Amino acid sequence: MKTLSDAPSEPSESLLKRRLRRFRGLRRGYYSFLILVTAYLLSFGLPFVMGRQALVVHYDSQWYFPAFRSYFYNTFGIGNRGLYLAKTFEQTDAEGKRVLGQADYAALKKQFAKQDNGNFVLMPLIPFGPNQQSLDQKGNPPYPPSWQHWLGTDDRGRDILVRLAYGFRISISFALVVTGISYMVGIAVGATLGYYGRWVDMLGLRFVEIWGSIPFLYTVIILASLLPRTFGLLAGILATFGWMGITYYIRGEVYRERSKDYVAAAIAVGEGHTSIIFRHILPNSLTPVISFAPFAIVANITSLVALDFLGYGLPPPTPSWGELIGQGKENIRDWHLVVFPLVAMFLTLQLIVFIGEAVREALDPKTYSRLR
Amino acid sequence: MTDAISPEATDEPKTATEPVLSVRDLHTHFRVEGGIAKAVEGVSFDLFPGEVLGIVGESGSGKSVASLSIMRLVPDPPGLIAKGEILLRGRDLLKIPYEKMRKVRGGEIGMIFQEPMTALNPVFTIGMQLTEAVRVHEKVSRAEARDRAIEAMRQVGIPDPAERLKDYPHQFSGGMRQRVMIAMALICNPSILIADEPTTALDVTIQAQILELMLAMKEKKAGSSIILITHDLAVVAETCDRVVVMYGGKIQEVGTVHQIFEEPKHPYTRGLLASLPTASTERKSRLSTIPGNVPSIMNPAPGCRFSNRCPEAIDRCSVEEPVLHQLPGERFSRCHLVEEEALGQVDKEKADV
Amino acid sequence: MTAYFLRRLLLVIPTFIGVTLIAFLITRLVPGGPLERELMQIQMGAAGAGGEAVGGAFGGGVEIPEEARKQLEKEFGLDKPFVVAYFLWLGRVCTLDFGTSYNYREPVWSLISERFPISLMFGLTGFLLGYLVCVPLGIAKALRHGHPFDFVSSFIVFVGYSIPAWAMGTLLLVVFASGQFLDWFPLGGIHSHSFDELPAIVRDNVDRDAVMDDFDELDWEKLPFIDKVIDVGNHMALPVFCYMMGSFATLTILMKNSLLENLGHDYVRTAFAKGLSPTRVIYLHTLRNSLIPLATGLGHALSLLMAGSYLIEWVFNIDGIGYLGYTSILGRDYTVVMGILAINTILTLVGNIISDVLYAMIDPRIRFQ
Repeated sequence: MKTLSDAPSEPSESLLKRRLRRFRGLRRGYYSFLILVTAYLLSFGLPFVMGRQALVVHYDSQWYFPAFRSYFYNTFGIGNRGLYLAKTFEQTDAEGKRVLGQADYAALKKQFAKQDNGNFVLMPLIPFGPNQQSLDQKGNPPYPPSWQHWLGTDDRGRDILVRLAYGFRISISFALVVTGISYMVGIAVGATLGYYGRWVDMLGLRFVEIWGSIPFLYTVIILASLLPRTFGLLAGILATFGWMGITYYIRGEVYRERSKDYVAAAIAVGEGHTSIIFRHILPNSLTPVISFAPFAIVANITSLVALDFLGYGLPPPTPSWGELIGQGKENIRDWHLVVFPLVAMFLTLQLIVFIGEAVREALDPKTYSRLR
Repeated sequence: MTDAISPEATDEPKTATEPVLSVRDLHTHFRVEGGIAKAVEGVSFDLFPGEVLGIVGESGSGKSVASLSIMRLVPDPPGLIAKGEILLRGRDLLKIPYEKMRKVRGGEIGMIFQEPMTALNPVFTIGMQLTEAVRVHEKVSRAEARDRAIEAMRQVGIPDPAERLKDYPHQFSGGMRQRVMIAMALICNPSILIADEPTTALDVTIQAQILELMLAMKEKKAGSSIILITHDLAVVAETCDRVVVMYGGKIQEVGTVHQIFEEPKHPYTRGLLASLPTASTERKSRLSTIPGNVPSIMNPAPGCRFSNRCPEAIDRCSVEEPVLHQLPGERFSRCHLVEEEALGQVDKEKADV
Repeated sequence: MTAYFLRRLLLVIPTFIGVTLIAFLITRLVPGGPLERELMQIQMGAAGAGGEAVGGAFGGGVEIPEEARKQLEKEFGLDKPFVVAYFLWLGRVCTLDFGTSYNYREPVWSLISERFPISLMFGLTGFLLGYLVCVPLGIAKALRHGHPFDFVSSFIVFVGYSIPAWAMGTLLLVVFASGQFLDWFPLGGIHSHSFDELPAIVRDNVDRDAVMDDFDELDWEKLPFIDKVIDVGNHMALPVFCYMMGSFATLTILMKNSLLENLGHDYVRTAFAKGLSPTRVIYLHTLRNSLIPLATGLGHALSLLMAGSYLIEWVFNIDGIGYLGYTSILGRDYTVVMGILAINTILTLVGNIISDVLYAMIDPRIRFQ
């Protein structure tokens, strides 16, 4: 009954518009999309919600906005060493000379409150940065959830909620970059193999098979333990070992499209190969690729979490879900180290899966019929 | 939707024999994106013992859905038989319990489908698929069922049947597969065979063989009848006794093959006939086609379904839906022109007086 | 057909060479290999032992005599050019000689074959359980597509999809093994190493003195067979569950979609038109067809079965092949890494072919091509 369910209700509506309309109609996926995109965009404003920099400082009838620019601790007329950030936040300049760090706004806030002379500090909702260690509680970290740290702290006294939130932004960004690169490589290679066929295809396929048989995490661990582990490099490595899946698919699609008449027609009027691939064949083969993308993003987030868990992911002190789970494995009685990252991961990946399902449904609606 | 004249109400004494199958006011709907598609809307017809009834129409006219409704094989979702009666020797197939319906399928009504390529299960041998058809309806041993299968295959003209039982569907050609389908549909001697576009997917040369085979099989069992669903009037001309013409989910015209071909009473039928190539068609002249497409069954416009494509449409046609008019000689036509003509006739008679 | 599979088998050879060659190249090109480590240890050792005597003379570091260096290079096979070394390795691999582990000082083959049954036991149990649960669940979901049952069971599937099996493992440890919430299962390993670690039933069952050795340590071998089984089962429960969850979501959804799609095929209509019962149509006609994509997975799982998942083995401290491979990478024990890689590659490639054979066995259309 495909023909019936695909019947356009308005013949004038374009395919893209119809798919978009269908996608919006799939509420679970559409709302997941809105939530995820909003959350990701908002996550770039995280320092205003979770951070150690004050939003506003009112001092001597002057207004300061530390969240937007940095001030030295002595700006606020305090010589007391205790009021600027401890050693870790003293930065060294290019010549290795120690420069004074920024003011410790949390301490400043207390100070102002004590003085009670009209000065005040407005801190973000959660006054902790992702790498800020608060060791002021009794005993050793990890601290369990409390009013101060809603989800507790990790084994270095860093607030878990804050690290999860920053980890969300990093995970999504990372997965988007990896998926983007591996799709570009995969589509380019796949299109080349499928389009040129013959020996190019034969040799290329063998190469792809060999490349795909190299255990990817082994190689990543070896490479990641030697090269400086940066965001870009890690994304590059993951993409290097993650482009093969889409290649097979595109190759098959292009191979099929290649034999169709419109390609022969394009060749006959003298169009170049590149132009034929990009203008004619790929647009026809790309739709299903889009519906794979959310699932590829899920897979890449999972890979990053696994690498971080093993300690070969993004370099410390990058906020990371996997690193927290790793800490949880070492401190098995501190349940909050494992449970909260898993919940964050589950919710995020779930939203993406919902989006993926809706995209697939919008691109290729299926009515499963039953007979009896 | 009530028709002023329905076929049943006006059974003439000529058909003293009871119909073996009567479809009454059948409505089959499909729930699709954006609404309900009325694929079959108020269809009624009779099938008499021994006859070959053709149901003709373009794709989307509802003819296949009507035939699937008879077998209660409308895919659900999205399909749904909303209303109507399907009387097999007086029993309403839409009301009998499921287990009784299973006995009807294959036992009393056999069915063959358009695509012999996909209609057989690719992972089982032909022998298995034939014997299970016997054994589901009759208590026979494996060996007996196998003999029946061999016999059925011989009857439909498959050479070396005993050997070929072990073969899988993909090892048969399209025409041979359709023969297997016929053998399978008829293996329990049903009195009715529904053939849904049985030859559409086949080569022209094979088409004639399959049609002949179907007719020959019918002759073997006295009183058995065939419903042949097709879009091909040439096939109808060769095989059918009576014809039902469908368009837009509704019956447009009913008559004997002779009547339909010699004296079509509906512009749609005339259009179909005009698009047939004939021996007299001049080589250089173009075959006539009916302009336009089958209208949407989602939001049918008021008036006659065919009015937007009809070359003979009058003002009335786009406003008022015509009823199925009964004409002399067991004929029906859903066209305002029939009425207008009759009125004209009356006027003329008056004038004569 | 046979010719096709023979050709496929022959193609394994170039792929195998390609994979191992690249891996070999990486171990050669990448610094921080075993030679460097060894040299560093010698330096540190020398500096520590004779620090005062020679420290000043050599200015902090220890110059390693050229001869010793050569000796070490030879031991690690670094004295020969890369390609020669590779083909020497390949030649030895053909006789199942994978060399000696740098770290364990043991033949790689015996290291692997010791751990092989362990990985297989966990992997196979989880794998079989996966199919036993997922196939019926997928069928049930397909037959109740859109019904409450489908929605509720989808939640489990979603959890399985969104939380990787190893991460689920850490959660299971926290909940069921840490003692913080429940203390039903041990934290890891294959069997207990102390009496207190044994499951309560076993502790009640056996006479404590009978199973203790002279140092008042548990001698596991002395346990009665049934108690050994209980103990191992207790250790296996969580990891096996993780193995199952690893393929749970994909398998269930694959089964469901495959069955749903097949239920819409023309041959199903034919089968119903013959008057067959829904049971026969679904469980015979449709199921046979919808199992085809699942059969493909059987072969692909071969390498996972044998080599285990290093993440799960790492989480549960199971000393299997995955664990060995992971620790060997960390320890730059390249003979072990290459050995495991070689076996794994062969298993993967052969697994792919087995998948195709199974495919052909179920689908006659392919069998006769």
